[in-house]
Amino acid sequence: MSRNAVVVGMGASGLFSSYLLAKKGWKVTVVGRGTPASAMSTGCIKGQIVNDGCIEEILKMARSNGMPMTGPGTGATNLGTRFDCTLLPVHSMFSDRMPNSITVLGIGGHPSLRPRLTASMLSGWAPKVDAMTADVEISPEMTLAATFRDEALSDRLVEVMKDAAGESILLPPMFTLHDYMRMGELERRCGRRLMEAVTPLGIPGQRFLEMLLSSAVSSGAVVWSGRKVTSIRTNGDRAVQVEVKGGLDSRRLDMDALLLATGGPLVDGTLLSTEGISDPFNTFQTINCPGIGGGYAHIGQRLRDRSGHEMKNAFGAGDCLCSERRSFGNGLATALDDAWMTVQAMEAL
Amino acid sequence: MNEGRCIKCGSCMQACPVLNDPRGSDFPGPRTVGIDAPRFSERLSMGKVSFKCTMCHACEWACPSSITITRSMIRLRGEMVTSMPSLPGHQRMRENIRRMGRTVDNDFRSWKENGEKALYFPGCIGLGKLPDMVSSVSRLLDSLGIAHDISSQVKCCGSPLLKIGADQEAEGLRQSNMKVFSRYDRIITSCPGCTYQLREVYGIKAEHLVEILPEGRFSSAVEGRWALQVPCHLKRGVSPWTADDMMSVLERAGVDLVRLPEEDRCCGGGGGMLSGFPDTSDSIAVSKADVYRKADVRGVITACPFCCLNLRKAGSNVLDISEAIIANR
Ligand SMILES: Cc1cc2nc3c(=O)[nH]c(=O)nc-3n(C[C@H](O)[C@H](O)[C@H](O)COP(=O)(O)OP(=O)(O)OC[C@H]3O[C@@H](n4cnc5c(N)ncnc54)[C@H](O)[C@@H]3O)c2cc1C
Ligand code: SF4
Ligand code: SF4
Repeated sequence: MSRNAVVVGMGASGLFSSYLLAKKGWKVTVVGRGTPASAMSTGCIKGQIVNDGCIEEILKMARSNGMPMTGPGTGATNLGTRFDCTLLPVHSMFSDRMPNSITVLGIGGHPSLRPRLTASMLSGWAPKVDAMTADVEISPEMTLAATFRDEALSDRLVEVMKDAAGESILLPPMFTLHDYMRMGELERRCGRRLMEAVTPLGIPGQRFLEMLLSSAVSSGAVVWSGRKVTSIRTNGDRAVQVEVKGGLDSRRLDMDALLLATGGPLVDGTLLSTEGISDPFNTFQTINCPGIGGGYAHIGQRLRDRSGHEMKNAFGAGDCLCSERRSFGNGLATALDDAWMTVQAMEAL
Repeated sequence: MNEGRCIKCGSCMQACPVLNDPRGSDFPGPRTVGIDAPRFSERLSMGKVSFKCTMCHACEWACPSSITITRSMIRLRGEMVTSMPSLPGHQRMRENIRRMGRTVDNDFRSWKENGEKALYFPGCIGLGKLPDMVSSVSRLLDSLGIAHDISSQVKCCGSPLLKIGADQEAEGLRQSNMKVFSRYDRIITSCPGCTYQLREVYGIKAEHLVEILPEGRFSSAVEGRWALQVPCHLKRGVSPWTADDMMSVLERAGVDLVRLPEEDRCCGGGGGMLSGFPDTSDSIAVSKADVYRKADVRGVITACPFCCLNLRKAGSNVLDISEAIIANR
């Protein structure tokens, strides 16, 4: 049997499953548009991952992308609150070695970390917590990653950090995946332990997504970003073709298996209307649950058609599935675990 | 329209090349100009910084809610031009169009008006500033067996006028151009901005050169390693598949391409920025040129006259795709 898979959605579940499928020899085309919730997250995995094989894959991927992850553990958010995770990047991990003193360092007036506020929230984590601001002129709208491409600025930061009172320094996220190694370099140069504040809607989530994307690409998945699946054609209990729109153009793609990883009820995911959650493709069954628990009905990872019959080759993963396990902000673990289980199910086809 | 779907995630602001440039940080940003400001009656008092946008569509590409942010911003621009004086550069561009039908002066003399079935539409920047590029596109079309005219009758496509809110003048240009187009079966462009305008606004099936190339066989006309500047309006306007084609054509021709993550970031030249905010436009181009310099490549290959012009000004060695490949006989 030929093994052409179409994966819809380029969030954590779509990209992780594309990576795994391509590694197993599937010809994968992954289609997605818009910033996924996965990239808005903190990139720190909340919730329980049931499958050990899934955890192993994530750790391997993180290592080979230069952003080793660890866990379970606790990080400190940019607001100074606790963030308990299953897995998180090494520099976000706080709880393995609790410091005696922490300096919270803000960068200019940049809103990504407000040192005095965060320091006051953190008091109690360590015997001594203080706040400090690096005197760097920077526009609040600019991302720090764009600023710290500049070597001279890093040098200045090292000088500032050498004067910090704390043995550990909490910093806002400043480095993209490509530059993540520089955290270690800064750490060596200033002689303090550097910790990155767990921060949503910014660099860490984008970095996590970039890691998944580059893994999918290097394992051979074809990436159709900036494109949207607009309809799905079925033949009996099989999904056979998708129509994809990108810019002013659209194309059709045949497939042997389909995986929906379209995310929760944001605009491009499942449809949220006054009647509840429904399928934008008008093809699959959905279930309404209280809160945002609703989504595609499924048996294992397999989707059902509108009348409830099990589809042979259509699967789902992540936030688009109806799940009792999921609550808000608990998503990355489920998304990745789902992806892993779906790939096992697809291998059995 | 669809602005009500905004979830305030800020993805558009993080994607914006203007906001991420030190000279552009006074731009209020796509969410403010496109989504938030239009809700207030004071929206017209934002001033001219709200025009500081290259129309690169990066914000729309990033938006999880598929909001047509650039369309919203253009609508506000249209309202604003009636209540405030134009930027000097934009005024000059309008006067040029009124006087000679194009945004910039030209002494182009290689018109081809032989009554062929196909029309090559180089666009104002090609004709006025990059005559060599126009010749090389024309030569490439010849060697592909596509006999074509280059008509002295066509005017600006009107895209720059729409970007500065001058809708009626743009409509006049459309009507005039459509008369010329009616004599042809096929319209071919080399400027993604023109291609997008002709398809979206004129509703005709104009083709960008890159869309024709996959049919042909080429070899490389360049040596050494080259990077790409993927034009915004090719990738995020016309279609991402067209941008993919640009790379595969070059790869198949044997050009040694270095792929950089920044290759599809805007050069800073679009949306009336070159004329309206030359300093910011320049600053964005300079930081791109810096990326290419650090990548240690011979130069950059693109498929857009604005990218050619703006990155050359910033010191990059830039070729249009038509100058980087030769058709095999
Ligand atoms: C602000 C925020 C912070 C969060 N923080 C955390 C956190 O710290 N830790 C954590 O574990 N979880 C967090 N979560 C939850 C977590 O991000 C999600 O549960 C998880 O990312 C869901 O992944 P997914 O792959 O299922 O969906 P998504 O990441 O949403 O990806 C789905 C993608 O598919 C695209 N798509 C949909 N339909 C189509 C179509 N027809 N064609 C093409 N593309 C389509 C969507 O546009 C979207 O980009 C957070 C969520 C949010 C919103
Ligand atoms: S079109 Fe480009 S420059 Fe303009 S607001 Fe959007 S991202 Fe910024
Ligand atoms: S990306 Fe879209 S949804 Fe997010 S803030 Fe911008 S306009 Fe709103």
